[in-house]
Amino acid sequence: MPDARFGYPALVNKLDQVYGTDANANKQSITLRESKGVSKFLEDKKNWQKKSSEAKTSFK
Amino acid sequence: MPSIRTEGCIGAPEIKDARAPFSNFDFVEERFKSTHPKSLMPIKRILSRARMAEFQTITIEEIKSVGFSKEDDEELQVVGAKASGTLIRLGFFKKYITTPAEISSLTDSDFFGYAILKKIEIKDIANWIVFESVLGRVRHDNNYHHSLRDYRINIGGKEFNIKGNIYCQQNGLTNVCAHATLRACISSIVSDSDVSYKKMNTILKDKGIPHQLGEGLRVDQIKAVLEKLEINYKHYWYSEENKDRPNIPYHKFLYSSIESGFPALLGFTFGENDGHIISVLGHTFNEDTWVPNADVSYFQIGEDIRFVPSESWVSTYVCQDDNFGSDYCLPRLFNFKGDVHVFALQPKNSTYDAIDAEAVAADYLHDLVLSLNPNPDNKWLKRLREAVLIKDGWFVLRPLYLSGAQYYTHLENLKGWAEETIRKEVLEVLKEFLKGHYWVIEVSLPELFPANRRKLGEIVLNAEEPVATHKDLSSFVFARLVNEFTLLMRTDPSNLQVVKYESGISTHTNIFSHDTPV
Repeated sequence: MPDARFGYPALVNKLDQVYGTDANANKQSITLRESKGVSKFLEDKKNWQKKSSEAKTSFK
Repeated sequence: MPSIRTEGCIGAPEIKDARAPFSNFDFVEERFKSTHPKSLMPIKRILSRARMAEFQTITIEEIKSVGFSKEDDEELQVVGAKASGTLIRLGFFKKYITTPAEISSLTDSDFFGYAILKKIEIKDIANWIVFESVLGRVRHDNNYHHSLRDYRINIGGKEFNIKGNIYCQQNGLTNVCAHATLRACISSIVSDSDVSYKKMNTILKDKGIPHQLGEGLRVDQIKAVLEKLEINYKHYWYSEENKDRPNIPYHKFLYSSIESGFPALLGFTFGENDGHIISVLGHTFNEDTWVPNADVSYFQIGEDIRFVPSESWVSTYVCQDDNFGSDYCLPRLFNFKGDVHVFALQPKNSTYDAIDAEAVAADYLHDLVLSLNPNPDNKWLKRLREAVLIKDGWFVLRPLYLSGAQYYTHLENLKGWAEETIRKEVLEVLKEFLKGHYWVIEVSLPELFPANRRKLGEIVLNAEEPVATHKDLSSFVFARLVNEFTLLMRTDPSNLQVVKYESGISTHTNIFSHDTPV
């Protein structure tokens, strides 16, 4: 199983073959921003479920 | 197990002319006399919907109580209540007939649905309830239900098919609203069978948390049933008492389930610990709503991610309330006075939900758009860049859970505004590649999405791997932004590359559709 953290090089290779492109001609470097907002949101969201079992509500 | 849907009629069916001057009110009052008239509200609602569908004939059959209903009778007997042993099955048809023999000439398109009623007696009280009902859709063309199921019903010896969601009314003794709501929701996602009340009660008994006669079901009991049946869900509790309550609106969680074809249970309180719970199964869409223009409609994550969720165009959620009947509309911004609970049912194969997927996609989109030529030749790419970077989040995201085959078929059928399509040789590659389950987050513009249901592309995330809280590429598969397929590749820890391939489409395309509006 390829490590998805490296992307999907096998897919890139197949598409390179289809397009007949040089393996590196259509690639450019990119920098991903450090997205603290999204990381925090995903962490917060996990916490929202933690105490839900403490609810005493009875649905009738 | 025998089923009350296919059980044969005792004797011949009775045929009633439902056209004026036939009165639904008279019919209910004469046929289903009950000690508590409130118990008749669901059958009145069902008949009202049949009237809206311009039904012309009602078939009335007496059938034996079998299957789930018989199990229910046995549970009732244990607590001293009595069910009659037979049920009344009503069939609603949009065509006028006068004799039972004519039923064989009716077709599925004439059939609007059915309701099966049960009389329950305890001491000197006798009430009729709707044990189950499924109805077709009624005339509104802006209603969207993505979790409809086909039900086969025997009416007068002929089987008819109806596509809908099952509605059930509690008996108030051995089952309550939570049972009825669980049954409705579970039936809409389990294709081979439903779950009976007896099975739910057995699960609870086995877990050591039995349902007590006449009492409601608590949160832990609802969770126990869902978990035993291996149904993936997330539960959120909005309460002053809960310091870790969500800070996003409850309806966002409803939408996260519904738009991907899963129902949600929505609970609310009206006393300290007394609550009621209903099933939410669909939504309506208002293309002219002003809401997306309001600043509060933006979904903001941190300081630099914001966008307009596609949920902004939802005007109401379509729900069923076991006390009142099926297919009611609950306004999207309805403000409940007490606590609110959402049990958002989720895809089995996904480790994260639509809201996570949307947030991650928004984050990647921002970076991918930054990598675009500041002055792209393609005017739609230019408009997307402006929407994301200059107009401060004036773009739409719509998260969908799709299998590889569903997404591939969608790509295969995509057509640009000039009828252009995805390159065939690329489709061949993607057909082989798209084997798992994905979150496909559609990207559009607020002027484009509601008006003609079109989009500029999508971000594709792997639904089967846990979502990363930082961008390590473990979720990202690729993006299709207008005329470019965009992939990311890490060649070494410090070098990340973006790779782009021309898609064959240079304009906007249709969004994914589960079905036509119903």
